[in-house]
Amino acid sequence: PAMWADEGDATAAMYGVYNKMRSSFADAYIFWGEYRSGLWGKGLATNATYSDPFTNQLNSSHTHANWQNLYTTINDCNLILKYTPTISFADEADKNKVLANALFVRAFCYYWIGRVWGDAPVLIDGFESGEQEGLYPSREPADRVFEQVKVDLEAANSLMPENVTDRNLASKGAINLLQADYYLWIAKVRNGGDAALNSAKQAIDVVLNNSNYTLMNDFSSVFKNKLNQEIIFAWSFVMDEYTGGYPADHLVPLQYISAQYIENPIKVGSHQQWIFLTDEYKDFLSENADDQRTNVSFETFFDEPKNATFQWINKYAGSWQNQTRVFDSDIIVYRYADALLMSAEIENALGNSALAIERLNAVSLRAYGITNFYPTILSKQQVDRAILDERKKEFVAEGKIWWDLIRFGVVFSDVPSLVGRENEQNILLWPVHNNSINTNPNIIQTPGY
Amino acid sequence: QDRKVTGTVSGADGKPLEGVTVSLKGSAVKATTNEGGAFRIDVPSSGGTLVFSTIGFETKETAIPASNEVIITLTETHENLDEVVVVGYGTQSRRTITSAITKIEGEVLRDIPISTVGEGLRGKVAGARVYQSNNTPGADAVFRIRGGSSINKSNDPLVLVDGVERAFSGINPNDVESIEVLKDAASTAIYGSRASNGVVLITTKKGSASQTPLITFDASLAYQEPETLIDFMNARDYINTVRPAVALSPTPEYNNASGYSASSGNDENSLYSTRYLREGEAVPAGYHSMPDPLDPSKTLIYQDNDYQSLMFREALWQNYYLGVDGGNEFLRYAASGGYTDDAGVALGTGYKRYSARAKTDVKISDRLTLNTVFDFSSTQSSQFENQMNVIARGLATPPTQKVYYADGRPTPGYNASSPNPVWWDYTRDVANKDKRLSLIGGLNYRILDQLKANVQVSNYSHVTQYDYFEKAHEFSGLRTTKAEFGELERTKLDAYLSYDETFDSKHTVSGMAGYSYQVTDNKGFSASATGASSDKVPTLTAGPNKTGADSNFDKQVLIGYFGRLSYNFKQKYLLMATFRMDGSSLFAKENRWGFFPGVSGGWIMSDENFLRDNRLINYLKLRASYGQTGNNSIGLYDALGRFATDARYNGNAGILPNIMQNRKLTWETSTQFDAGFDLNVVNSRISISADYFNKITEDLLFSMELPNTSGFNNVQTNVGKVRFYGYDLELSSRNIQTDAFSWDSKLTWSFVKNKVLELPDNGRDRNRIGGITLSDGTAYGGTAEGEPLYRYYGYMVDHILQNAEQAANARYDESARGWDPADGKSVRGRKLPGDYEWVDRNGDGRINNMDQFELGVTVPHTTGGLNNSFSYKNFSLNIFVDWALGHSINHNAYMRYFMNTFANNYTLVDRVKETWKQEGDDTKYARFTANDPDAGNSNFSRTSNVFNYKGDYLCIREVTLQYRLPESVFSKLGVKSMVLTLSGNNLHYFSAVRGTGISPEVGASTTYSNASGSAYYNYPPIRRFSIGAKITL
Repeated sequence: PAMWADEGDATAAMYGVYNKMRSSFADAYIFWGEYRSGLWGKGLATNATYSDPFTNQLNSSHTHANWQNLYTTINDCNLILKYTPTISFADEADKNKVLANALFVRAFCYYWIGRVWGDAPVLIDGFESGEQEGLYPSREPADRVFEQVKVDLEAANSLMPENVTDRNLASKGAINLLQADYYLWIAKVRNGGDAALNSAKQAIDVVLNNSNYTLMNDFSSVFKNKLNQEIIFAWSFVMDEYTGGYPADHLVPLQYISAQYIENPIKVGSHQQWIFLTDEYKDFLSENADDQRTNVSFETFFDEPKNATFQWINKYAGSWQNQTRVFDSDIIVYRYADALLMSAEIENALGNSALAIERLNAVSLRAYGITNFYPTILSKQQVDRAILDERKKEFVAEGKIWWDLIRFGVVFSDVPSLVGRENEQNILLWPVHNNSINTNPNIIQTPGY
Repeated sequence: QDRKVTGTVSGADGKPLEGVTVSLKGSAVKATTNEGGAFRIDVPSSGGTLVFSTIGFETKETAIPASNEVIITLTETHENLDEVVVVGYGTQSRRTITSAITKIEGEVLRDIPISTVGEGLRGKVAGARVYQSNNTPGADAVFRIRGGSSINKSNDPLVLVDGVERAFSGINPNDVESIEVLKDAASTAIYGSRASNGVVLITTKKGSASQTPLITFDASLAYQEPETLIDFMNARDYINTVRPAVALSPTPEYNNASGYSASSGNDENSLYSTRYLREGEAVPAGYHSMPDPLDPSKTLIYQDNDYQSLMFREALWQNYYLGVDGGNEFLRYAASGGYTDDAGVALGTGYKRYSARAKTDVKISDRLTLNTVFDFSSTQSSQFENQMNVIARGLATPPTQKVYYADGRPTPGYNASSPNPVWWDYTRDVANKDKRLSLIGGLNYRILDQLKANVQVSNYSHVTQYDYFEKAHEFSGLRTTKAEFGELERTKLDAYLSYDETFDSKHTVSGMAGYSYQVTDNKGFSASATGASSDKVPTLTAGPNKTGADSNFDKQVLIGYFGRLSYNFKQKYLLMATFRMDGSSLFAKENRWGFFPGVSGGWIMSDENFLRDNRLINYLKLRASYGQTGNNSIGLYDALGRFATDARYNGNAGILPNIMQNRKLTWETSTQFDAGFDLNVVNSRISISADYFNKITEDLLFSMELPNTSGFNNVQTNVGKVRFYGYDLELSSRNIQTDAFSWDSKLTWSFVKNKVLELPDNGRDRNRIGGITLSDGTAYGGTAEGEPLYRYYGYMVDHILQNAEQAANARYDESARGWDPADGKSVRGRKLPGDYEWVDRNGDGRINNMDQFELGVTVPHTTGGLNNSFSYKNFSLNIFVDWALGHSINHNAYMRYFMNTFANNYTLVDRVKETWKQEGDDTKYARFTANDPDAGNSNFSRTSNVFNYKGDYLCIREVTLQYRLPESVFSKLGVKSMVLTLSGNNLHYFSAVRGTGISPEVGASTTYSNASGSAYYNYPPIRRFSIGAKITL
């Protein structure tokens, strides 16, 4: 019985792609998106896998320097895009949904590849045989990589049926938000100018106008309730299907704490706490006592019998069942607050600071319970700073802040381990993993590494 | 004038001999003895001499007495020339064999405390490396005949037990009659596509036509212990080493916080016992005390637990065997029952085997014989699924850790995958059960005297059961429960015709042609559940969350046509040709069939006139062979491709590509040339058999590594060529032979090298796969054309930096964290006094992963064994040693006992005391730091020559002393013989890894790996001393 024969094959392949995408990002997402931001340091213990990123001393044998999982996900998308058009579906809309999802995932992967490694192979044909042309690609200019993201997102957007409201798969909302994210990056980091900003605005407005999405009043419920109204796109984590991922590194191993404090209040993990927020970051997150996000982001507790203070992150802490931690919290990629703050950033860049502050205040209202938390008199720079500060408070451990620091142009001033390193070639990229070079002689290491 | 002479022929043991040729000297008159050893021959006139000859016995002549009745006893020949050798689909005499076959008598497996056949074969097969890769109870040995034949695919030989394809597992060594190892292409080509790695034919015991049943009872009991242990540090030394080091580390607080092995800040509830003695407190029972090395005014108390002795216990091994055989003219039978029980030296391991078998031959008519075999075994074993975790990391439990909490529960280890051995045993119930059953039925029909038909039908089934239950524990309260069930069923039909004829008493021709059909059905299912309410009911039923339900089934068919033709002229010039044509369902339709031919020839030079009367040379045969064989050990879907159907996403069925298809995939073909000789000298007291071989495998079934952007790790291809070449030698000698005393020796020696000739074109220099690419594009390591296989690489120490100045001028080291307590900073690449300065291979002044060197190979080039047996009156003594040379071991598991990782809770070995302390120290080991990889400079936490050992070893494998009780002692009891045995097994390895807890038998680039396919088994070799008695009724 051959694959790619009927509708069920294509649909199952689509879910297969999300399965692969989820495992590709489960750990790597935050390594690429946050650990280098200077806001993280050692946990109860650490090791080189963590300290190399948080001290910005990466090398080509770091496990997350390997792009293999992303390209495997891409190849799976390529095969769907190759075969699905040849399969007949009862309802054409279902076929379009499969195709749009494959395009969305491929675009997502290339967007991360472009930002993490810069120049990289662009593969869109799907490999099925060892004799296929192009099996040994070279790295293409980053512009080409980003171009592919744009093309795929446009195609995905036009194929995705309007009525799809999935939150753990692609939807119009997810596609538009990724587009906005992408164009904002192009505008601010890759000289895309106002054209890109306008494209970003167009995309983000689609999301903001979608009544499917809204802010949850209770910040903690964003992370407790699966696929709630604030979620635009998340990876599903399900007990006995797929659990774990990076949140497992943020809790406290039980051997260090007194028995009476297990889960009361100390959140106990399944293994060592390899990494944690720096003291400066914790102070920053705690500066406003009204901020309902602080306690969701992290908590600390002094264990008197052990004479030690323990700390943990409450987001994505999963569930505690049979005296066992199960990391089954969905990892959220895009949520409504992100859309609002992205819109604020776009509007501010376009010079519409009033609208920017309005968006910003929508987020701060939920956080502090105070309307018009930010006054309309702020300068453009002040608004940018406020957006960045709110993002740092809103998205702790959500894998975003490294990109924010780059977009706002403060990465060499805000990240202590990068101060004075502007001239190190490609320091903001990751090196290419040895494995990529050793399996393909056409891959050349990123200059500087 | 004609007269009839009758008589019987028997062996020295009184058993009648069947098939002895009786001929009148100087004439063509001949007769053959029947099952009862009786013969009848018509001879003309009076006088004359009868000649009695048969394979395996010395030829005897006797004058015909006037009574016309002859009763004669033949003595077994010590010349190996006339022994019967089992070959594919038939037997041959050693004298006329033209291929490379080693025969091992079942006797070598007796009277030694072994559980499996392979255990008793190490060093005994010329041309094969037999080694124990895993020493867990009941594990089978690994066979590598002439190095194997493949790079990526299996190098295991085809094993046939009485013609049935199966694993060694489950066979009772006591049931083995003989083992024939087929090594060259001429002998293996008859097995075609499965023969490239050699063929092992095991023949089990068969009844003889002796009238009285022979009953043998054998019992032995052994004491077992690890042959090697690791030299761990005691608690006091551990605390004295770790505390000062932690004080200088980036985390000095670990010295006084709770939950650290050498910390003063633990309490009654802590995992670790170390803490300050409180004022006025007496040292608690079970604790020791010492001054705190950091502040001698304070007293530390601690426990000193020896986890190694908790993990490895002295355990009992026992074996019982009851066999009976006998028969008459019409029926022969052999039956046995056996029980073997290895209690397992490592806590939580063990092995039990029950076996039962019966083999019968029924003579239905003069022409038709029926034979049947029933062979059953049931084994139960528990073993660690992950020896890296349970042994290597389990032993990393520091001596200061409490074994039990105050409430009596065992303490866990540092994390779920590095357990306190006692805790692991307490929390896990693991059981494996295997049942194997062979049923064989065969008919031999003599169509004409020269033409025989043989049909055999067999069914082999192997049922596996696996149960796993994890009690609720500190790291998971889910009570994971798993059950698996599998069945492999193999049904086979073999049918062949054979023809033998001699013309003009000069030309002997024999031919054989046959057909084989084998279908293998595999079925398995497994399920798992979690969430049971207590530890009491370890079933899936008790767990409410059904977490897994999987099943698989597959089927493969192999069809073969085969034949053999041999011709010899005057028993002097020998020729043989064989072929097989195989078709397999593993390949795509268009590439299924393969043809595998073999030819061989021999010349018995000693029968030529110029050597016939040579006093030194009694027998000399030159032989050569050439042929092709195949290897079909590819996965079921390697040719057709596969998608994985278990890629769920949020409860939806998901499918992912899993194996890249390659419909062009076909057989891997090995072409082997063999040249050898068999020589007997000095009255045939010394016999030598030697072979040179050259085996080239083409169209390698190769996992071609793909670029990591391709969506797949690899694809199976037929690209590449590899060569294995070497020689094997077997030498037997009867050194002394008197009535009271004898001394025999036997030596085997095997040597094999390999070289990669061709690899898939990947655009790299020498089409290198893996290895290390330098910035100028050149590369080394991995697998490459013109280079040997099995190499591994690591860093090399240049010297130890002795002082601050040297450290300041040292090379930048990418793996150095550069922590200096003096300034409290980690500066990447910075070195300190006491660190290793590594050799800078590429001379760029930086030490990184490009600066590695070949540290060794994992496979020995030489293996061998030497047996000496002495017998004096009723005593006999057997001493067997074996060895392997040329492999290396990088002992990563031992290296970790220098690193103090796991937040300074990973235990240390005593040798850490030999680390560098101060300027001028001349030592092998760099300075010790608490947590070498994360806070130190990775002096120990990288594969280097520091923990690289030569694997060369000599093992005193078996020493057996036997005493045969004099008959007078028991003859009244109706007992035929009684033998007492004292025996030892794996007594001592002489090797460089001595004292580090592992066996030198397995070469390894790391001893710390659980990666599938390259897992290292940390179970130490086990020494056994046994006492046994064998009674024959």
